[in-house]
This record gives sequence, structure tokens and C-alpha cells, in this order.
Amino acid sequence: MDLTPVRAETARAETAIDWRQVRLLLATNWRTKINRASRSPFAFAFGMLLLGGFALGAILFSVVLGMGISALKASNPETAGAAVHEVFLSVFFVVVATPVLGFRGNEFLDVTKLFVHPVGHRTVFAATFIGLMGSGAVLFFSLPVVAAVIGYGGPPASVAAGIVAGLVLMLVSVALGQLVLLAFLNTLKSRKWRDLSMVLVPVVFGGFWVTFQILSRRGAEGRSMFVGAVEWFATWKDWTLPLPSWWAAHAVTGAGWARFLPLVAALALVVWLVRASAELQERAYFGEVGEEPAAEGVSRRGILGRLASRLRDPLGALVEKELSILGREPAVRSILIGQAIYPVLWGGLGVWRLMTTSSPEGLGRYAPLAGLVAYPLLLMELGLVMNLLGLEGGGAVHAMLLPVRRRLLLLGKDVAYLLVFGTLNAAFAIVATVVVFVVTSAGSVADCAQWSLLGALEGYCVLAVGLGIGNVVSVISPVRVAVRDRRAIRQQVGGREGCLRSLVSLAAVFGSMALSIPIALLFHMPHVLRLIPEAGTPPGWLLLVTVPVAVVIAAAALVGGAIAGGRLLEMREEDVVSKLTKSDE
Amino acid sequence: MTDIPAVPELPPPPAAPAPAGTPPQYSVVAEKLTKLYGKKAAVDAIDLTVAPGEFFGILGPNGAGKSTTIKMLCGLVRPTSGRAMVLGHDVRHEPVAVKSKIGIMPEEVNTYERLTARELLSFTGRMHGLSRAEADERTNQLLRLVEISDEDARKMIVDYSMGMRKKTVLAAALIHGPRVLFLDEPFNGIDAVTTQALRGVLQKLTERGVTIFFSSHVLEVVEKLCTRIAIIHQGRLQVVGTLPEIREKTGHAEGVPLQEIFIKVVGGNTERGELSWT
Repeated sequence: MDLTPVRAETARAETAIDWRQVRLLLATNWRTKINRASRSPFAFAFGMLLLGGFALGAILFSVVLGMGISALKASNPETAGAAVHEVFLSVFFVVVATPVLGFRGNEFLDVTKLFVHPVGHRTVFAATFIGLMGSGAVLFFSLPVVAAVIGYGGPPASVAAGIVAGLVLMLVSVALGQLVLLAFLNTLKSRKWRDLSMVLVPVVFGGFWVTFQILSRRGAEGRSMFVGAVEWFATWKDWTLPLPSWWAAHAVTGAGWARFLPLVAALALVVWLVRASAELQERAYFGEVGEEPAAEGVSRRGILGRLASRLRDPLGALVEKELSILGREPAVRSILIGQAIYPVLWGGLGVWRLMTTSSPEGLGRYAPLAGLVAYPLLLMELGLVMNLLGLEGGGAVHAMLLPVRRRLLLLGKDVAYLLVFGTLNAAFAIVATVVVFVVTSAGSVADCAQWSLLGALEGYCVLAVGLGIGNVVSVISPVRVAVRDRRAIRQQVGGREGCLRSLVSLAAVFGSMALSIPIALLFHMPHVLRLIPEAGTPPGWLLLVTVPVAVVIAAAALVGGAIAGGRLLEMREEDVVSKLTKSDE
Repeated sequence: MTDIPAVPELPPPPAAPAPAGTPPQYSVVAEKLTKLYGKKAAVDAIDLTVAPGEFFGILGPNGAGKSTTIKMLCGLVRPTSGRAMVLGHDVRHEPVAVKSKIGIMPEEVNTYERLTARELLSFTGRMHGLSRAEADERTNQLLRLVEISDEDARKMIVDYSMGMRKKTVLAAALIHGPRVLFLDEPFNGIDAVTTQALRGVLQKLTERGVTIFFSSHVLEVVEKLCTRIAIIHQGRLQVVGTLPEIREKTGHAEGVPLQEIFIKVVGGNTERGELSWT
């Protein structure tokens, strides 16, 4: 055996920071960002627009903020101090959260990818720390901090000291962010986090936009909202004393030399955080943090599966298979979460407008319309409905070998989607109707039951129309979204094909909405007629005619779409398979 | 045997290390190497040695501990107990020194997907201390070797098939001229022509004194390429030696294929139920 002992100089070389490697890592990090942004001319233009927007937004925001704090200090110095605290607190949380929120978008934050290279964990740590300090988040959010300090004013020495305090705040925030990143590396690499971050990131950006809107409002209303928010924060500002943001802000707004003492504590905290992170980094380096996440459990057959098993084969078998995929394929969750912003935003906005413009009694008039909730839900589902074949992935080859008519392949998917998402729409419609009836005390129990049932039926019909169009669009423009190796491998479509895909998607969305409108009109014909004074009172039997017509239209759209899609699929089979499979499948 | 396609000249391996004044007798040494996950032993007190220039194959059924063993020897996973030396460096205390002299091709390709193959190879070369010009020159040779066209080399790795990804990672593992090459299931997802070309490269490397330590499920390849073989099962080393030695140790006659020996050693059940409809 040849077990030579470690020499002291080798051990030192193992732990020393290699600055040449640090520079290379930072440069390569930039390269990945540039590659990502310049993937296509559209992506490049969008990236530049986004970057320019952020830069301009940050500058404008900071100028407005600085001027606001300056004006506030002239009239109410105490509130101005609270405003500085509020800015520092917000920036602290944002910078701490940035590495976690940006984990999915920046490959270099997954440090485990570096460990096959001859690079020491301290080198990796230094590169990550410097990279985060130079990240867009730190650069953009430094501006409001500097603006708050300048806006608060004081002698030049105080302003300079305030800017140093802001820098210390950034150091602490980045160090804490890095610690969080390393501590939760395993979670951040998981599918669940990927899904969650798809919701969190837009929410955070939406929050910035709303804040900017409030701050940049001109006139008395805008000023009162800004001052109101700061005054509200001032009542609990000192509860944030344990946070580094308070320490840094106190160095700006406090008096006497003692106000700088917390900054010393902040620097000590940076040292501690760096040491703790380095320890975690070392554990990650030896594979003790980023273990593979456990395999997801296989969902058991539920009520829908049992329902599908009652259908005659081969349709029953196709539906059962599709239900299994919908229940287990992580891409389904990702797409739905990604699209959930539409029902949340549109539905929320609608409810908010109704509640702010109508009294509870007035709101009761809209109770029978609660079933319309299916329409924003359809927008969420369109990501899947317009790409019915996308979840097949490599299984597309298998599907095409099945000895069944192509229209049946699509119908199998349609039935499964109706069982899953139609039921979801129906459930939402029932809940929404019951809630509105209960809250507004509008109408009888029989009315509530009638509109709940009609709302549920409308939910299925709206989806059926979407599926009818989806049957055709899915064949014209399939995009692979199946997950393999724990990673979504969405087929990247660029150039002319990507442009065509976007146009087809747009047309499909508008087509679905246009075909759905008659369904809505037929389900709510009495309410439509009431809007027309000359139409008189609608007869009681009207719905008995219009609702069956709506159901027939929806069914015709579904079946017609399946037939047309099936014919198209027969002609384009080879093309569809090649788009849904990778070259090594 | 089929003719091996001509391959470009490989980067020269670095000078043999001499950590304590004398070159190590073995390229790889493991002594009671153990890795526990909770109470479960993924690798259980493995002892093995691999000499310079050996083509060493490690076999085992899924979950036997092959990948964990390779990860420990590469310094990617810290052993719970025991010791391992690679080219005279302790993997626990000198992982950077170990990684600077070895090439690694992990089973799961986990690399920077937003880099092109050319950029990844150049980056890897420079991480190993090569100059940019030298890294670029070697990148060109390696791309030809693994048959990645200029056009593909300009695409981002995210757009590659599994085979292309594996070829890229293998090329990255070779760029610095490693003394020991650790390959975990290298031929999975690679087409037959490339497999043949890579086999040629690997054999050429062993002729030049490079040690190859690899795991594979393709027993035919192991039988043809490996000078010594180890069979591991449930974390324990069952048998190690040349193929004739393994036959002798397991009581098999000369000419018995490796597959038969392997199934017997790992206690595999070859009897399956009958199909009622055929």
C-alpha cells in the first residue's frame, strides 16, 4: 500500500484562494448570462429592454425616493428617519432573498457543478461572494440606499458615513443571502422550489412595480399614501432592531458617535456569516449538503382513475394512461403554476373592482355570474390544452405505434383533461356561486343550487371548446415539455419556427376565447337580455333552450377538433415525433 | 476486433507526481473505504489497489455502490471512514490536488448548460491552469476526437442530446491530460460509432500509462477492455482480479463469460416466470 502522508504546504495549497480561478469563474458566469440573453434576436432585445427598464426604473425610483425623504425631513424629521429605516429594511430583505429567488436563473449559484474541477472550496466561496456583490440586484438596490442617505442629508461627513453604512448593509445582506443559499442548497435544487419560484419571482417583481407606482404618483393622493406608509412603519420600526438594516439605518439617522457602534456589530456579523457559510460550502464540497432529492412517490389511482376504468377500451386505457401522466409529470405542475398568474390576476382584479364599486346588495345581482370563473381558469389551463402532445416526450413514438385511430389518441387526452380540469373548473364555479350567494344573501337555496349546477356545466363546456381547438393546435405546433432526469427539458424553439409558434399560440388563445363567448352568452342569456331594455323580461324556459345549445356547441367543437386534429396527425406524424423526441431516443 | 477509427493526437499527460520524493506505487489505493448514509452502508470497507496504466473496471448491479466509490475516489464525497489515495494524494485532505491530476466523467451530466461545448472545454482547461491559447488548441482537438461538429460546438449544451452531453463531458475530462480517468457509465447514451472511437481513445491512453477506472453495465465492453475487474454488491467488494483470476476464485471453468460469473457473484435470479399467452 502507498499511503503517503499529507505535506503541510500541500494542505495550505488546498485551502488557499486561487484568484486566477476566481477571475475565470466570474468571467464564465458573465458568459453564461450573455449566452442566455443572446439566444435569439428577440431574447436579446427583450433582455436589453428589461435591463434598460430596470436601470432606468432604479434611477427614477431612487431620485423620487431621495426627493421624497428630503421633503419629508423638512416637515417631519422623525418620519423621514423612519423612511430611511424602511428603505434599508426593504433592501436588506430583497438582497438576502435574491440568490434564493435567482437560483433557477443563474447556473453559477449551484456551486456543486464546480466540484469536479480542481478548485478549492474557499475559491468557490470567494467567487460566489464577489459575484453576488457585483450582481444586478446589489447594484440596482444600492441606488435607493444611497438616495435615502443623500435625501436624509446632513453634513458631508455624515452623508459619507451613511453611504459607508449602506455598503456595510449590502455586505451583511449578501453574506446572509449566501448562507441561506448554501443552507438550503438541496431544497433549491428540488422540483418543488422550481415550481414555487415560478410564482414567487413574478410576485416580488409585481410588488416592486406597485411600490414604484405608489411612490411616483403625483399630487396630494400620492404624497399621502407615501407618508401614510412611512408613518405606519414608524409605529413598529424599532421592532426591527435585531436586524442589520436597523443598525445601518441608525448610523444614518441617529446622533452622536455611538450610532456607529452597531456597524461594528454588523461587520462582526459579516465575519461570522462568512465563516458559517465557508463551513457549509466545505460540506457541500464533499457532497454532504446537495444530496439527491428523494424520488417522488407514485400517486395512487383516485376517483377519476376509477371512473376512467369504466370506459370501454381502447378509450378507457388511453384515458387512464393520460390521467397517470397528469398526476405524475412535474411539468404539469410547473406549467399550471406558471399560468396561474392569469386567473389570480384577472379573477382577483374582477372581484376587487366589484367589491369596491358595488354594495353587498348590488353585488347580489352578479351572483348567477359566478360560474364565469371558468374563463380565467381556462387561461391557466391553455398552456397544457394547446400542447396536448407535449407531455408525451419520448413516449410519442410509443403513442404513434398504438393500433388506434389518431382521433382516438386525442379524444383520450380530451376525456382525461375534462375529468381533471373540467372538474376543477366545475368545483371552482360551485364554490364561487355558493360563496357569492351566501355573502350577499341574494336569492333562494334553489337559485343557488341551480346556478351552481349551471356554473359547473359551464366549466366543462368552456374547457371542451378549448380542447377542440387544442386538438388541432397541438398537432400543428407540438413542444416537448416532458421531464427527464429530474429536469424539465423544454424544447427550445427559436428563429422563424419560434415566431410561428408564438403566432399559433396567440391565435389559439383568441380562438378559444372567441368560441367560448357564445357559450357564456347562452349560459347567461337571461342576464344578457336584461341589459337590453327593449328585450323585455326573459321567459322562464329560456335557459332550457340555450343551455342545451351551448352544450351541443361545446361537444361539436370538441369532437370536430378531435377529428380534424386526428387527420392532421396522420399527415404530420413524422414531424410531430421528431419534435417531441430527442435525437438519442 | 473492428478497426478503431483514427483519432487526433491527445494532449500530453502531466509529469508523474512525486509528492514525497518517490512516485507512488499505485495510482489508486483504497483502504477500508466506507460511506454510510444514515445507518445504511453504501460502500462497506472496500480495499483495492489499481496500478498505473491499468484499465480497471468496477461492476455491480444498480445501487451496489459503484458510483459512490468513484465519487469518494474523486474527492466528490467524503468517506465516512477508511482512506483513499489517488496518485499519492489523500482524497480526504487533498481533493484539489487529486482533481488536478484526474479526469472525471460522472454518471449524471451536471454541467453549465448555458455554455457551448467549446466554451465549457476552454473553461475546464483554464481551470486546470492551461493558458487560453493552449486550452483552445486542445479544445479543437478534443471536439474532433468526440466528433462534435463546429456548428454543434457553437450551440449551448442545453440543446444537446444525452449522447452529445456525455461526449462533451468526456472531452472536458481529457483536456488537461489526466493521469487517472474516472468514468462512471461512460457509454450510456452514446452511439455505437462514438463508443468504438472512445474505446480506441481509452486504450491509447492506457498504453501511455494513464490509469482508467470505470464502471459499466455493458459486460461485453468490460470483458474486452479491462485488465482487472472488481465486482461489488451491496457495498461490499465480492471479488477482484483479472478475468482468469475471477474465474478461478469463483470456481468457473476457462471460457465462461463474465456475464455468467457476474450473475452468480451478485446472486441474480435468472429464472423468470413463463408467459401464459405464448
